[in-house]
Amino acid sequence: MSRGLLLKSFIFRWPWLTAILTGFFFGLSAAALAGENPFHVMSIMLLAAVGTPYDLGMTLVYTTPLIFSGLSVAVAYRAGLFNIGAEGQLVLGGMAATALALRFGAQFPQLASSSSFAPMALGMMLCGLAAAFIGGLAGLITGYLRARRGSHEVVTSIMLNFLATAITSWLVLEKFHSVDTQNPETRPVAAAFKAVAFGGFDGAPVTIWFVAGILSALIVAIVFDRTLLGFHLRATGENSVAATFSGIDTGRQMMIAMALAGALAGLAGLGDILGGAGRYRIGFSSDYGFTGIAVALLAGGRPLAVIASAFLFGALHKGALDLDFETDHVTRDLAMIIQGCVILFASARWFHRKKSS
Amino acid sequence: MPLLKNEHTKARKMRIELRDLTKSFASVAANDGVSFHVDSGEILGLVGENGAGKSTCMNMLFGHIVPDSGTILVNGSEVRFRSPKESIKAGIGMVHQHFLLALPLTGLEHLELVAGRGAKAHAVKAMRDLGFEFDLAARVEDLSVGQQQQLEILKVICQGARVIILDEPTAVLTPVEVEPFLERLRRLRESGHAVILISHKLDEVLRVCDRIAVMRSGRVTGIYDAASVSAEELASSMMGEGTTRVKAKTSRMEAGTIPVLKMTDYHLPAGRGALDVSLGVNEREIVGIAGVEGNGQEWLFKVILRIAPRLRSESGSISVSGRELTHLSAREIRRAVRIALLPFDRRSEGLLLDGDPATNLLLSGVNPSSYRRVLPWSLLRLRALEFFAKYDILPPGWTGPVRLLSGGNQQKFLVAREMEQEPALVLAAHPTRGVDFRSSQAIHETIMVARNRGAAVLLISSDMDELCKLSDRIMVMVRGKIVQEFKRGPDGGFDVPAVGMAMVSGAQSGSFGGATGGMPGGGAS
Repeated sequence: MSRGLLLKSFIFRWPWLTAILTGFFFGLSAAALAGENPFHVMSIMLLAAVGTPYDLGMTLVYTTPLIFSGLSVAVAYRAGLFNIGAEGQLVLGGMAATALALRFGAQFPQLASSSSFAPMALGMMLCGLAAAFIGGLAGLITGYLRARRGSHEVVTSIMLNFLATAITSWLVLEKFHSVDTQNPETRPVAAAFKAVAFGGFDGAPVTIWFVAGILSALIVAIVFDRTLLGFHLRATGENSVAATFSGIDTGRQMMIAMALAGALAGLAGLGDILGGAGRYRIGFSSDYGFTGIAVALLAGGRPLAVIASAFLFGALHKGALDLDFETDHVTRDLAMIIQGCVILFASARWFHRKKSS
Repeated sequence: MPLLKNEHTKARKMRIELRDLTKSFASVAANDGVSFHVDSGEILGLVGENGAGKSTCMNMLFGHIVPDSGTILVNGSEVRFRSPKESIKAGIGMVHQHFLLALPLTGLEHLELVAGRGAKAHAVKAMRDLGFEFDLAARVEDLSVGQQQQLEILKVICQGARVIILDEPTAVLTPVEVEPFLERLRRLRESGHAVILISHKLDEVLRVCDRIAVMRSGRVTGIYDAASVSAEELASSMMGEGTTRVKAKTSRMEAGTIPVLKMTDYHLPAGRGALDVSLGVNEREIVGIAGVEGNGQEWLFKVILRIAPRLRSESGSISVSGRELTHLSAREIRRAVRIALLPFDRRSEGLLLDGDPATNLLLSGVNPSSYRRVLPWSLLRLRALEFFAKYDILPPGWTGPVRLLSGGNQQKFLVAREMEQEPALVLAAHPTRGVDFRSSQAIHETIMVARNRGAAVLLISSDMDELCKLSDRIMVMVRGKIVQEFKRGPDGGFDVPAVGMAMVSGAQSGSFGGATGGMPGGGAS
């Protein structure tokens, strides 16, 4: 086997690993050009990402929303759709959960301030349902417009992103604004809704919502691999003409896929809102929805791979934070460069698909 | 400028030689030491059953696939084609079975795309020399299938091809178009081109070729002089020693009288899919639809399956087993009636090409209700294996993507999937197109068995032999209308020339959806 063939078969078998390696190579080359030792940069990032239990915890905190938004994009992708609206679905879902928590807290103050198991489980469930429902509704709008009206989902979901931001800003500032702060944020949610941080991460707010992310990935994987619904979604994505001929209502599948995608994206903000801050802050999402596209792309749309992919991007995000202090020539923006390169190589078509007839 | 180069090379002789070409896919040898040559000024026939390796061999010659070992020689010097671009540059052109044309562009625009501004003069001359007849200024969507094929050939000539590979060219032609096509091939030979003709139809190959190479299981089993070989010798070379032709085992049971499919005054207005049809298919009956392609046949399937666009403007009724379909959605229909569908284009309409056979089993309109809970993958894989064995699909035990199966084997797989579920109604379009002789016999058998078991079969085909062999009645469709119905004569056969006449009767007059010539419509039983 020649060296070229060896390389080719490596790329063919592990396209994602190729993307990561080449992405890091080019990103670190940029750091080298800026005058930093790339190995030094790499070790800073590694330590900052997983060096201590706290660092690892924070990495998981950043990973949590990316699992959800990555799954959201992946679900749509498998059904042949591009969900660029995860960002909007995410803020709407987060807002819905916050609003519910605040209303509920005002209605039943005793129950809501209890931090025993039953009220907390109920609180989590209610918030999750509200976030998934509203996010799913936002996704369904896009899905409906695509399936029944033929409007492209990229256009409508981008526009819905702006709507979602505007609506949540209004709600935060006019309806749920905190009286004792100047910041653009809501009142804090009551104790029953606040997710408790797991021990062992030195105070990093890794909560039940991280576990929920992993579980969601498992559920999505099972739906896609083992159920007829999952097959119908996949068939719609892979060959919608053949799906139509076999009696599958592809429009319906698109709506289901977008509603599912929206529901998953809707849950993405809850780790931050209910786990970390305990309130809704405008701009809490550092583009989780858009990073979700990168996460799903690197994972090739496979739900379980999304977990690993989200962890990589979470670690990259956390690891780059220390670059601001520890180096002279590069900042945390290096993470963006590496991320960009990884995505570029993940989406690259390394091989022409040969037509076999 | 490829054109000028072509003018210069015109007089030059060219020889392409394949030596010991070998290529395996997933440890299955698709080509195993294939050697033959072709010279300019001759037509080489390449015959073999589905999966014999013809396509793989030609794809290596055309640079689609890189051989594992072996060499290709052009005029005695070794070449390595890594892409079709390189083989085109070397003077090799290929016309695929599935045309690669853009419907809204004109013929001339296509030629200019591949050969630059000067294409027209060259093309006009080539058309005159070769006897091509179509309007270069017409859009491709307005050309007939035969004319589109001429355009494809012209395209490769304008690219400077001296060796032209034609993959199953006659499969898409109507019977009347075949003879003129063969004549054009002879002219192509006279003008100094080398032609490699891939075909299943031995009589055509024998009529037009100079030499014939036969392939079986990835090897060349013989190269014959067309003048001194018989169809029987070719067939035994194709199918192996001691193989006799399969005889039709299934006798034709009396056709039933209970109508299964019934279309009454069904009308779908104007546009590409105009239909104006009354027809009925009884249980235990095969109704063949004859017609030049593009006369509304595919819309027949689409309206029955409720997947045609603009169904809101339809009128009339369609019923299956007494159940009105026009109120139901596509999904409800497939739940209500067991319909087996062999679609027009198996690749785009019947299969998930990247999926494995087990996954593709799920893409059937009729699935057991037990699938609705958890997908029984092990059972599905087992069923797929079973089908591969029972229907003799190659390679046996395949679990990779169905994309890599040959066209004929994809079709056999589809037949297995659709016909194994005891359908009440069978919608079959060109069931044996691109399928070799033996497999065609098997597919015909399968359809006959389903018929005798009680299924109503609506069969659309452009292969007259197939229609005559299978059908209980033949209806001729022209411009969305049934213009004439034929029954078996006293000798048990059909009046083939009359069917042919009816097919072209309305073709010249009127516009689509307008007044049609020929017999008055309405052939309901």
